Amino acid sequence: MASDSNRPLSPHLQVYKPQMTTIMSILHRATGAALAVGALLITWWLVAAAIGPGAYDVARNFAASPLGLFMLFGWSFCLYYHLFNGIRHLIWDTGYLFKIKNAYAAGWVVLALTAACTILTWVCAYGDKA
Amino acid sequence: MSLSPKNHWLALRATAIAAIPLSIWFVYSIVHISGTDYATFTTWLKQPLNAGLLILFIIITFWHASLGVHEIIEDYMHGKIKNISLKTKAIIFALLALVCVVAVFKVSQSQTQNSAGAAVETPAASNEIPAPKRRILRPQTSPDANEPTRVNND
Repeated sequence: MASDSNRPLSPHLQVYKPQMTTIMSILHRATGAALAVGALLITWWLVAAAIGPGAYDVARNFAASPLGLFMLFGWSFCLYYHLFNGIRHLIWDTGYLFKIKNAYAAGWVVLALTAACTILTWVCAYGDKA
Repeated sequence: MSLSPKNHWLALRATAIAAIPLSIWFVYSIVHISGTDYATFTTWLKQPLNAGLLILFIIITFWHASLGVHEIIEDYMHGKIKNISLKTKAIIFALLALVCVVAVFKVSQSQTQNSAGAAVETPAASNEIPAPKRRILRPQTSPDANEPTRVNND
């Protein structure tokens, strides 16, 4: 560590054993950042619709391409994770779920709901196609 | 639009709570209209409830995103770069939200496409009219007309 400053240093994260709570906290910020980038794609989609059918089809074809589908899948996962873990954070704001055991239990609920809703969404999107 | 720390905290929570039902509605709608053509989408967006909820979703979630990115910038950037980044970020999210809302208004206010589609299109899109016109003229009342138009036709 460079010590060119007398400011106190953060804990050295690399010597910490990863824990579910820390990983989920980092993931909350990462998914939030990814969703912020997703705002660009929502803008593209709506602007394309405003321009006309040709531009809309370009956006639609991209969404149906392998890269587009991959991004949409990632977006849906990020949204559900950020949504459910955000609710976990809102509950923390009210003073509940602070016991280690409860914080972990709520974390598992968030992960289970994220997985279930992500899968359910894609089953619904493709279910009537098959 | 730099808020005081207290108001930033409150705004982040308030937009988060508002975003919960709006996000669920948004994902449901995306799944509902996924893979449909332009006409189906614009028909959907011309319903005032859908246009209103979409505008609300955009304002709330883009604001929430702006507040969240604000915290990330504050954590990892310092001094002059931080201030420039915060201002740039605020302008970008405000512009994106504005562009989206204008786009929703434009689509929802445009005339029904099957009679005078070419007349209401912007000049920029005029060269793209002929090919999709067949799609526009497709009757939208038939319920099963929507399903086969899904995106895997290529």
